[in-house]
Amino acid sequence: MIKLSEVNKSYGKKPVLMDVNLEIPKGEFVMLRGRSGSGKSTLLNIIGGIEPATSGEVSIEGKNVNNLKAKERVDFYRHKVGFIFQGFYLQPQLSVMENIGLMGTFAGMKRSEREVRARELAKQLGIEEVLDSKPAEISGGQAERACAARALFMHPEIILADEPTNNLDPENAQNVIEMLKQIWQDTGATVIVASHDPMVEKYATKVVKVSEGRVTDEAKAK
Amino acid sequence: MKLRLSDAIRISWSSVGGHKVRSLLTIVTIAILFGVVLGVNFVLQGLEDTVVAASVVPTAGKVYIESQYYVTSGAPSTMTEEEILNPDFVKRRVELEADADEYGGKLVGVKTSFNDRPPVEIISVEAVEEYIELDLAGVPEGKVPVLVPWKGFSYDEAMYGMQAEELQRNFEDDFYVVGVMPMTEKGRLELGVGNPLNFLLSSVPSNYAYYPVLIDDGSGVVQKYLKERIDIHRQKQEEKFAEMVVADPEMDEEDYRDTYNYIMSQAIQADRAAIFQFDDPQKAIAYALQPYDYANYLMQQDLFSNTISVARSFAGLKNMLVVIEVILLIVAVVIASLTFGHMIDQDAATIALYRAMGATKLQILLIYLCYLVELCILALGVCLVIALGIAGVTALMNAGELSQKLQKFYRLAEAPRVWFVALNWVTWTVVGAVLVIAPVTLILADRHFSARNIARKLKED
Ligand SMILES: Nc1ncnc2c1ncn2[C@@H]1O[C@H](COP(=O)(O)OP(=O)(O)O)[C@@H](O)[C@H]1O
Ligand SMILES: [Mg+2]
Repeated sequence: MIKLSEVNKSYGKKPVLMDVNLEIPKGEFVMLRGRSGSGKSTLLNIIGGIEPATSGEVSIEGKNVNNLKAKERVDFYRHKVGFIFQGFYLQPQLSVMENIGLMGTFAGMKRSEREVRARELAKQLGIEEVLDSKPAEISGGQAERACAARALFMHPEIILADEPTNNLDPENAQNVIEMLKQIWQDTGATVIVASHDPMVEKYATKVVKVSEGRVTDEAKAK
Repeated sequence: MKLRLSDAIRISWSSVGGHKVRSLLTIVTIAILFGVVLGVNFVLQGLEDTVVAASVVPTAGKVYIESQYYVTSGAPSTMTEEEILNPDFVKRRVELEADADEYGGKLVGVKTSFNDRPPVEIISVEAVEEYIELDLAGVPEGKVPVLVPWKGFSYDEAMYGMQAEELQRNFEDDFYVVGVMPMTEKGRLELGVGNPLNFLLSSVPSNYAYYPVLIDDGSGVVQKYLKERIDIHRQKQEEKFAEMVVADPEMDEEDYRDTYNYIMSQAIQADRAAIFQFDDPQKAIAYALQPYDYANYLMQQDLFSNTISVARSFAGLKNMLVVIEVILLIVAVVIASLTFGHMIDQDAATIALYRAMGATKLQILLIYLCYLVELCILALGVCLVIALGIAGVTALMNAGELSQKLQKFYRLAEAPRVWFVALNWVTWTVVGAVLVIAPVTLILADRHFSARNIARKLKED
């Protein structure tokens, strides 16, 4: 369960999120829906621990993350959260294998251990044969899978995806969402997708509307 | 910091490839700036080593240094007649010996200077017998053995011939020549007109001498001669005083006494240095380049050759080079941090990604520090190539000529070896300066890593 109470975020004088109260039960497939500039990414970053809230309280599985010290915080998120970015966020100079293992790298995992885990994920997602390639040498679909594998590396309980279908044609967008759904079903993780793409809505078990920094919970009948 | 260094290096190394143009630009800029300094320093130290090696050939590979303490800075002390005539007397001898001993210097005699006209310079036979074949057996009874600056030397030829005339003595009356002293040619050590190396070689002073050096063989004959010279000088001073008294009949008693004391104190202007022998020229140089202690003015000079004067001049050139180096370091840091700042801005998305992948700020800084260190190490490599190129070209163009000129300047039997590459402490400051660019640049570019900047990048869609 992810719980935000009275969360505010502003950049200088500019408020971006206002009085956000939000509860996301474990295991849901959540869509943060809203126009560009409404604050979805900021909200996602606050949930994922990349940015701090200006005020308010964030708790994840009963743990108030505001009270964590810097080091505990990094450790906590490392094992809780996986981020999925668009394909171009793969590092072009690193092999697909190294890209998938990045979180392990920053956690201080040995190279051999990282490779075992990366291979396991690649097998699961069907990209085993491109592990030693550079991102430029693989297809768009394979890149999406590599990004997903990277997010899954530390066995996260929460998977965050920011506009995963952006810049994709409808067919590929569909594939990405299908993949997320598959992952959601296989891992039982909570999946939160920030998107303005109406297609995502069909897959979500819960939709949260973000509009000019305010959040409205829309319960969705399945 | 859990990030393994090997991983930090792997990730940062991929940045070098990812920023080919910026990386190359930074490397080449740093390499050119410091390559020239390193190259000039190679040549400088090579030249110094070459000249020092040639300069010790006439003294059988050893360096002889005369050292003494002055009471006040610069001014020679006055000694009593008793002190001068006692060749064992050296001011603060124990301290002098202990100091030289630290550098492997061995006391091999003393040098006495009586500053009359012509001057009387006496050195112990032990200070020269190892490298000059002395004809001591042939010295006639009662004559003083001397080393002369050139064969056939006599007072008439020397600069002080006129004063010698006043002595009303012929050179042959007092002296017997037992050998020729080692010294350089009169002029400068110089290559062809317009050769830039001449700027460095102008640091090589001539030590051409114009008057003989008396040898104290322990028989006492030198002291006898010295006593005579002192007496003659005294007598002249007395006469001078008498003239003054006659010229000024008004002189009262106090004036009279003061004037007399002053005139007679001029009578004995002399000093005595200890002569140390160093087997290792580098240690001799280290001894001579000790920082001055102004309260206890210690003065060291070459006895015959010019080894330590050369080293002193080159030390000055090296200090100049370090000043230039500091300026270049500032220029390099400015250029590097500008280029690097742009690069970080370009990399914001990557940095944001690393943050999202659980990297701490420290880990990210470590990755970029590695990147900068890698650039600096590559720059050092190119730097070395440039420096060796400069030294190589200099060697090709000058080696033969320099060897000939050195042979002539130091009057050597064989042409000496020359080289143009040598390491010294300045070399390490160049290495240090290039490596220091990395952390300084990182610190200057710190603001480019601001979390807010990077968070914004993550959200760009
Ligand atoms: N790091 C930042 N600094 C300043 N303003 C920001 C920053 N990140 C986002 N904003 C602003 O906050 C608002 C919400 O941005 P964002 O969360 O990216 O919305 P969305 O993802 O819904 O498009 C926008 O007006 C954006 O310009
Ligand atoms: Mg966004």
